[in-house]
Amino acid sequence: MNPETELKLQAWVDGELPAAEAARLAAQAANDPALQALARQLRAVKAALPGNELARSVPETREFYWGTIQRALERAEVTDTVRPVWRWRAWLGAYGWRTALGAALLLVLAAPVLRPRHPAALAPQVQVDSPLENVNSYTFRSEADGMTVMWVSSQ
Amino acid sequence: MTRLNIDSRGRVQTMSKRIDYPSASDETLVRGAQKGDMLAFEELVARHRDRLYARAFSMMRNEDEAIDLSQEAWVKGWQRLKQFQGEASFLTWMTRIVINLCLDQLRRQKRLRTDSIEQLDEESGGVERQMPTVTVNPTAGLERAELRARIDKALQQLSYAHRTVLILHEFEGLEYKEVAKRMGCSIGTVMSRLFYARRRMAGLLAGLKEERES
Repeated sequence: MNPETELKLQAWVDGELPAAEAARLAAQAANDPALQALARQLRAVKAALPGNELARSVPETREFYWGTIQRALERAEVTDTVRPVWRWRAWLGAYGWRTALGAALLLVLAAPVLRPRHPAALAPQVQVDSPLENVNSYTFRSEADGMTVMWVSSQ
Repeated sequence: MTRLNIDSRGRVQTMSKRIDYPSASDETLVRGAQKGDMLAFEELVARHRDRLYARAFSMMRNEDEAIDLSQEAWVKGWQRLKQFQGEASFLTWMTRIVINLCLDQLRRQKRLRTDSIEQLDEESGGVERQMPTVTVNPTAGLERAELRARIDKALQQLSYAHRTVLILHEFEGLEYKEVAKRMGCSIGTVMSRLFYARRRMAGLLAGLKEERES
């Protein structure tokens, strides 16, 4: 018996085989003692389990078990109240400097598109200061060379 | 008569209708809890905590984890209570929550992966495939309590992956595709694991029976 037949037989036992295929397998099983034996075994295990799970009781008193849940609910409620502000601060801490850096980069890249119609109005050298305390970035743009250089320093 | 109820923030609420908590139906308690009645929810916890704990234990096989996960399930249940529309029973709904938490935990700890030897064994059908099919029903003639104890002992010897498939399919009555969805694997994998787990179960139950009779 190959693995495919075995799995099909199991699907048949579980009622998960399409009707046409189920009929074919039933006919095959009728003439095959090995298939019949396997189907019996699968059915025996399938019938033995449902409703026969060992009952277990929480090894804690009702008060102690509920007390833990109640405290968790109280904590969750406090967190929910605080969360919007906390999230904003956490986001700023984690991503704020990256966003600022990204915005600076975007400005630099978009500069040729956004530049005024009179090139003279644009200074040959533009310096963009980072708003962050510990990250500095300087951008130099040379219209003559058509080149932008950006220097980022962590200090 | 009015009944005072103190919610989780310590605010005093006045229930317009008195609920006799211990004798109230689950539906009544759920409706009360959905309106913020913490006492109704506490009654639901007291009523079903053993069942939820037992399900968590059957999946995790660890007392502390089962307690923690079942309590976490109750917290999530309270937080999502408004989403409960009563399509299934409250216990079924809560059981699904604890199962999902157990599956998440097993995934995090990579316990749902079958070890390479076990995987090979599963693919080849294992020792069980080489053995003749047990034709005698290994559970026949057993008292229910003994049958339960024996099934539990056999479940203990399965891997997490195989045990989980059996629990979801046989105890929770989920179809192959639903088991696959929850376990994050293909239907073919579910079928293969289920087949292997059943044959192993049959072998283990038969072995336990022989042990007892000798």
